[in-house]
Amino acid sequence: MSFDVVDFNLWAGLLHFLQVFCGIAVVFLVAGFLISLIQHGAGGVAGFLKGLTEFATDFARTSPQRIWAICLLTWKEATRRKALYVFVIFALLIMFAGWFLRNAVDRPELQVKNYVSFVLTIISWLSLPVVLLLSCWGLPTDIKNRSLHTVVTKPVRKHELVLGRFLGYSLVGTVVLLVMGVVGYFWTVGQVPEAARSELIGRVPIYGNMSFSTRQGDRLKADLGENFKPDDMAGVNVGDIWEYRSYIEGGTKSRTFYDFKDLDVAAMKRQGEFRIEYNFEAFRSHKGEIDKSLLCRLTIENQQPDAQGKKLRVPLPIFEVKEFSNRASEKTIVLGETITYNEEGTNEIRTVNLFDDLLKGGNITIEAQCLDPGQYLGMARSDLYLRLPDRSFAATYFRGVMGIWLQMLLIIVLGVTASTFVKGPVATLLTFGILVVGGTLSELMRALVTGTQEGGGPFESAYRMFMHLNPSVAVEAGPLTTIMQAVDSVAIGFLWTVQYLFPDFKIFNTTPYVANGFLVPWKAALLPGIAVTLAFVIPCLLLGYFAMKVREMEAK
Amino acid sequence: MTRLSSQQRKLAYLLAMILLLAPIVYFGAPGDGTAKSGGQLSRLRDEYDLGETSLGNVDPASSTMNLVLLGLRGIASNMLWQQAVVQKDKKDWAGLKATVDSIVLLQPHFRQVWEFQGWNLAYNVSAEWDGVVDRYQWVKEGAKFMMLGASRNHKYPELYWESGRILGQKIGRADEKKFFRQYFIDDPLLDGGGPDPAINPDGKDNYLAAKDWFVIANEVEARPGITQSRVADVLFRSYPVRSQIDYADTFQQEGKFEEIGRIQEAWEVAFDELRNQWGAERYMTPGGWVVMEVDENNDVLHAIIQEEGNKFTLYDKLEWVDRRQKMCNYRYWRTRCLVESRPEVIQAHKDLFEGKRAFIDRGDIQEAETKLMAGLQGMERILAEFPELELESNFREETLKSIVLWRGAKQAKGEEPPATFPLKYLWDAYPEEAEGYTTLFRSLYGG
Repeated sequence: MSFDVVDFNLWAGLLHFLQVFCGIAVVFLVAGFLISLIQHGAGGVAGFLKGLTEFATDFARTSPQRIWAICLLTWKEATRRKALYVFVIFALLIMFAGWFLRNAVDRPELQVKNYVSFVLTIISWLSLPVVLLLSCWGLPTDIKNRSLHTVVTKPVRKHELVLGRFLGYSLVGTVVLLVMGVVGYFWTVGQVPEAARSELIGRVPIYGNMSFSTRQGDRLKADLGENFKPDDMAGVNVGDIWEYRSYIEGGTKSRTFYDFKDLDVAAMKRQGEFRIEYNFEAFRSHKGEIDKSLLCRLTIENQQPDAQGKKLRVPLPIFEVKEFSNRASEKTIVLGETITYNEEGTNEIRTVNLFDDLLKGGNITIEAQCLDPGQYLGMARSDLYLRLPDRSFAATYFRGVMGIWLQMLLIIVLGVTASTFVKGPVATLLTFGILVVGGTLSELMRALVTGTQEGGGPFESAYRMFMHLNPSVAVEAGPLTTIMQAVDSVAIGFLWTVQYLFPDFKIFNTTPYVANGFLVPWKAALLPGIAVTLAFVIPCLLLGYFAMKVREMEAK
Repeated sequence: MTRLSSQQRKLAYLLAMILLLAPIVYFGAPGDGTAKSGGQLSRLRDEYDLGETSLGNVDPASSTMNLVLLGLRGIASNMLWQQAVVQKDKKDWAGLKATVDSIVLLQPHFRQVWEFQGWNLAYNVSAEWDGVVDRYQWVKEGAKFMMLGASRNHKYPELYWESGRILGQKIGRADEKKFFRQYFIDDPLLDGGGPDPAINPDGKDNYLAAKDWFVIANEVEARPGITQSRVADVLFRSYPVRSQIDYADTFQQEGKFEEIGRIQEAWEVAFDELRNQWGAERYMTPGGWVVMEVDENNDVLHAIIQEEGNKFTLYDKLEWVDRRQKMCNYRYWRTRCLVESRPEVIQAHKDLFEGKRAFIDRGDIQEAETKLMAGLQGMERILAEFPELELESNFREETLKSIVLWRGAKQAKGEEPPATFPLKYLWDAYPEEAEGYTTLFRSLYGG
């Protein structure tokens, strides 16, 4: 894969959510109280308290039956609006997709990626706009047609109305997604060339922590002091535009270390084998032997010293690096229970038990070394991992579909909430805007807020463009610059305030995992998706409740 | 309007539809493929050769894609180009190829797309891979892409020419040429081996396959109204002959001297095509039409002068012939083709090749010295007869490197190289090249 897999920290996320949520809640409460005071004078206090009591009562007396009834009503409305016609477009695309995808590359194993990406992308692109439009237009159309009057006159609480809508559209979306997902699955399995079917898998990797040593053999340690730069911890930069991988020089003492901690050795022993898969990249500074790939050696070191304080080191057989290959079998090193190896230094032949000796204690380091002098091997953290028994393709594929589903739920939540206080077209634009900003500009926004974005805020950027100053050149100090930066700081301050209102939609994209044959990880991909969706459900429900409460139903 | 009944309204709509249909049929009726068929637009398209079918084979997927995108083709292709750049930077090769395939669906008749991306796959992407078979696969992808471009665009000679260049120069001159040339005949990526029918249907040598593409490029370029914008015409037209020369040269480069009949035939074909095809073609110059192959009495030039109504003198013509010949080194190549088919020249190459192999592969100093000396003596005799050969860098490289090896063999025997030796004048005339090859020799073998 071409990105790092980082586990989501649920507690930190929850704490952050509570901070933001409580902050906004306090602002709303204070604002509500003040408005009430201004509008009703001293009687405003009682009105405010009454409102809070009503709120508590409404939520305490929530009726699942009523929510279900609204949910079914929403389903009926959606089907009447021909929402399910989306299947026709899906069927058409699936039928003719083969024209565009077949034989894009002669190597079937590289094709798998294209097929899987295509299916998951098409499913998102078709299902998400449908639910976006449905959720944004449902309530405003009901209000306009006055069909909502038949509902609000019944003893239905406002939040039940909103929640029923959430659930109803979610039901429609789920059915659409489920049908598309199942059809897409069989289509993918059927379309992938026979020779590449074995690549339709769900690898379960365990990643370690990566560090490098210099060509003199000094291992680089994280120095988190003031002058620390991430480059200090990296290997050689060979001038690649993409700085994802860092390189080690062959024929020197330069190594990459992957530290694995607390491995479940007992479980591995039960499986009877231990698999290491790599995905290194080769860089040649001279032609070398053209017909031979670069050579690499992995050495496993147990971190538990013996009585003499010596750590067990087992060098594995040398292998040729199969660069860019998508075939798992070409890049996986499988170790059996007994390993015979040549002792470093003495070259003496020895045998060890993998599970009882080498993996003892569960803490190991795998060292990677390039053996060709003057050549380089590039590595990233996710380029070497221990491979647990693979899961089926269906397991990872449907987890991928679940990623789309979570995104769909979030869009429904945002769309329905928007439609409680604005009309259909505005709600659509608002939700679409949140989707675009959250999906494409969230990184830029974070960079602006944290000050890591070169070129400054909006005014400074405009000034730079006008003056033809590139972002890395400092702007001359002076009164103009001071004013410009002061105005920018207000804009960036505003951005800081609203940044959390835009969910980062990129976290829902699990396609790279599925396309590369990895099981969509729970902690790094699904959990953040669920957390973000839930984090928006609660405030959106409250906002929808209050919006419906104050909304004048007669206003079309 | 409101007074009309529903049926009357429907009839009115029908009438309006029929009235509107008439101009559509008159202007837009499709042709049946024959001349002067179909509506006005179809006829005009036919007359000015603007129809898509007249540009090349039509891909139904391409038309569908353009239709589906309505007017957003430009935006879509722009986004795809950006995506292709990102995919290349992030080394997502399969994704890049799929994106490139989508780009050409949107822009099937945009020549530069085919040229740029075909080159990108064959040269840039292939170089990123470490395995030599993998690299070859991407060269093939580039070649296939360029050939597809040519089949979709019959009016661009450049695409045929670039297809030939990938087969000829990329496969024949890359660092991996030893492997690529072999794979071109026996593809390791195919089950059961053999040539890949998509790029080498006849199982030819890569230079001969390239020659076929260059011949087509010349034929396309010769059609009225078609021009190419890559190189001067006189050079563009030289490529079939140059491919034949490259093919003939491979026998010596790869040491296949046992096939002496084929070597001679290859050079004879090259000589014949050079004089009677490339040399006999007419090229436009500021001094009117000229040919590069001029007989002793200048009969051809006299005939052209007469055809042009004596607008130019013979002196003008000869000056422009000379300029064009110099531009493409014509006289050198003619002499080379003439000389190389001679048995004594083949023998001299063979001696030099065997001397080199004896020194490098077997370390047989004695045999190396003997063979290299025999080869150098042979070359000296040839250069005495055809001194212009020394102007060509490949010829000089072969002889100067052989002198370096011969001197190395002498030193390895503990002898000082003698003050005089065959081709010493060449050694003295190009001191920088001699020094460069000596340094290279020392870095590889010491001394």
